[in-house]
Amino acid sequence: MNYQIFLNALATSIGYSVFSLALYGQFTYLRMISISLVTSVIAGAYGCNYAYLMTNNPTISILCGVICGIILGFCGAFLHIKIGREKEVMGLLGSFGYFVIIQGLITIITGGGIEAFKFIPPVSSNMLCSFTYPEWLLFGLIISVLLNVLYIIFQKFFSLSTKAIATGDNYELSKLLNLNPRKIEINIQLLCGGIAGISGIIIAFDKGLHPDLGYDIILKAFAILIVTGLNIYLLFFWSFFLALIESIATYLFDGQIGQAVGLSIVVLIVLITILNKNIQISRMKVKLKEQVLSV
Amino acid sequence: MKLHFNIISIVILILSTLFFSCTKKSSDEYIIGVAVPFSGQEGAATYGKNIKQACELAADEINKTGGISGRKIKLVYEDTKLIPSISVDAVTKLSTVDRVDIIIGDVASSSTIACSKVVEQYKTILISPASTSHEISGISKYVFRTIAPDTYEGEAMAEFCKNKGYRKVAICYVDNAGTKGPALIFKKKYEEFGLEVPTFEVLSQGSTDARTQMTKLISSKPDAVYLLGYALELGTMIKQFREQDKLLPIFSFQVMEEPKVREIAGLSAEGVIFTTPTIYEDLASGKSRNFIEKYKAVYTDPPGIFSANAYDAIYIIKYCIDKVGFDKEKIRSELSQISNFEGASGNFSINKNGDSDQKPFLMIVREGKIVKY
Repeated sequence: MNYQIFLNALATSIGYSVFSLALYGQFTYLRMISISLVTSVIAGAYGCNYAYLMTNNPTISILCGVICGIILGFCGAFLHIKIGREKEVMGLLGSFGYFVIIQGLITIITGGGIEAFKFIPPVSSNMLCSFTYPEWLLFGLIISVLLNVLYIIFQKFFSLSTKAIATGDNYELSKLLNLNPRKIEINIQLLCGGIAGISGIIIAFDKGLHPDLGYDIILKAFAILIVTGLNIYLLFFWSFFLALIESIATYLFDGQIGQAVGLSIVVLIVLITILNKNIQISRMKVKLKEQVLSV
Repeated sequence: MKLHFNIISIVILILSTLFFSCTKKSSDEYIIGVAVPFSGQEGAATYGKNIKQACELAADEINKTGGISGRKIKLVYEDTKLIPSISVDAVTKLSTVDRVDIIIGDVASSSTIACSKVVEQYKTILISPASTSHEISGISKYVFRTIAPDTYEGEAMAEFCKNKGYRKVAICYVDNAGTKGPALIFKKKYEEFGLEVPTFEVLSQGSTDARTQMTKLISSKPDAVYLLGYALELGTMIKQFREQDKLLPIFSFQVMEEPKVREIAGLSAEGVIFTTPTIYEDLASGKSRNFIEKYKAVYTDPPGIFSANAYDAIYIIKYCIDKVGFDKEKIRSELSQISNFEGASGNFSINKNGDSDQKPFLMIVREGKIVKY
C-alpha cells in the first residue's frame, strides 16, 4: 500500500463532503432530504461545462454552475411548496415533478448545446477533463473546507438559521410567530441548491461529466450524514474516513469483492452508529423519567 | 348509455389500430427488420444512427439496381434502447407483427444473447453488426454476426504485447460480457506464452472512480496495462491511470473509437494503442474505400463504429437470396457457408458458429485522432 491510497480517498471524499453538506443543510433546517438536490448536482456540473465551452472562461463557468444549482434549488422549493407540502408528503411529489422537469431540461440543453457548439469556434477541450490531478485536488480541497467553514458561520451567526430550524420543526407554529415559512424554505433551498451545484462542479472536475452524476454518491452521502450524527464539525473527517475504508478494501481484496467488503464495512459502521444513538436516546429517556419521578 | 358508447369507441379504436399496424406483406417488397438502439444510455443513439444510415445506403444502392431478385428492400426499425428486455420485445414484434424473415441487430451483446431464444422460437434470422461477446458464438443456428467476436481482439492484443517484449501486463476490465471476454482471452493467451498477468482487476459498470484499481495495477510493477470498459469507465480509467503514471504503455480495445472516451480522458488518451474491427480511411482499400466515399457523399460525415458491418449485413442477405431465393431456411443455411466475402469491413468468412472471422486492426490515438499504428 502507498500514499496514493490516501490521495485517492481524499479526492473521493471532497465530492462526498460537499454533497453531504447540501443534504445536511436541507435536513437540519427543513427536515427533508429530496432527490431534487441530486439533480442540482448534475445541473451545476453541466452548467459549468457548457459555460466554459461557450466562453472559455473558467471563472464565468464556475459561476454559471453555481447559478444553475441555485436556480434548480429554487425550482425544487417552489414545487415542494406547491405540490409537496400541501399534500403532506414531505416534498416527495414536488421532488419527483421537479426531477422529471429538470431531466427533460438537461436533455434539451445537452442536445441543443452540442448542436450550438458546432458553430462556436474554437471549442478546444472540455475544461472538466483538462484539469490535472494536483490542480483539481487543491481546488476541491479549498472549496470543500471553505464551504464547511462558511456553513458553520452561517449556522452560528445568521438569524435565518434559527428561523429555518423553527420552520422545519413546526410549520404551522412558525406561521403563528409571524415568520414567513415559504420565504425561509425558498432561501434554504437556494442555499442547498447552490452547494449541490458546487458539488456537481467538483465531482465533474474529478471524474468527468456524465448524466448520472450525483446518483453515484447519494447513498454514501446519506451514510456520512448518519455516521456524523448531523454534526457538521465532523462532516469532512467522516467523508474522508468512509472513502479511505472503501479505497483500502478495494486495494486489499481482489476484484469486486474489495468493493463489496468496503461497502459492507460502511453499512456496518452506519448500523452501529444508529444503534448507538438509539441506546443513547433510550438512556436519556430513562434518566429524564427518573428525574421526573424524583420531582 | 354514454359510458357504453365510450367503451365501444375505445375498443373499436384499439382494434383498428392493431389491424392497421400489422404490416401487410407486399410481393414486390422484401422487408428487413432493424432492431438497434436509437435512444438510451450515452452513446446508444450513435450506434443506432450509424447502423441505420449504413443499412439505408446499402438498401438504396440495391434498390436502384433492381432490388433483390426483383423485390425492393424495405427497412422497418425498432428502438431497443440498449436494454435487453426492450430488445426482446422489438425482435418479437418484428417477427410476429411485421413478420420479417431477417432482423439486423442488436448492438449490446447482452441484448443479442437475450434475443437468441426469441429468434430460435420464431425461426427468424438475426444478424448482429455490433455484438462482439464470445458468448454469442454458436448460441443459435439463427444468429449470425458480421463483426468478429471479442476473443479475436484479446488474442491479437496478447500477440502484439508478446512481440513487443512486455513480460508483465496488468489488466483492469469492467464487469460486463462485452469487456470481460477480451480480458479473459488476453490473460489465457498471455499465460500460454509463459508471460505474466500480475493483476487482473475488475471495475463495476458505471463506476467513475477507478483510482484505487489503477494504484493496484501500478503496484504490481507491470511493463504495460490493458484497460477495457465502456466509454465512461474506459475514459475514467485512462485518465486516472495517467494521474499516477505518465510512462507505462496503455492498451485497449474497440471502445477507444468512441469520442466520449477521448473527451473524458483528455490528453491522457494520447498514445493509447487499441484493436478494432472498424476499418479506417487510412487502412481502407477496394470495397472498403468505395464504401467510405459513398457514405461521405450521402451523409457528409465519415462512417462511424459498426457502419461498415451493418452495410455488409445487407449485402450478405442479398448475396444469399440471389443464390438460393427467398426461402428462410435456405438463406440461413447459405449464410453459414459464406466464404471470403469482399465487404466494406474487409474480406471475411462466416464460420460454423455464425461469426465473422475478420482480424482486428491496430490503431493509436495521436493528437486526439485515431490513426493506423
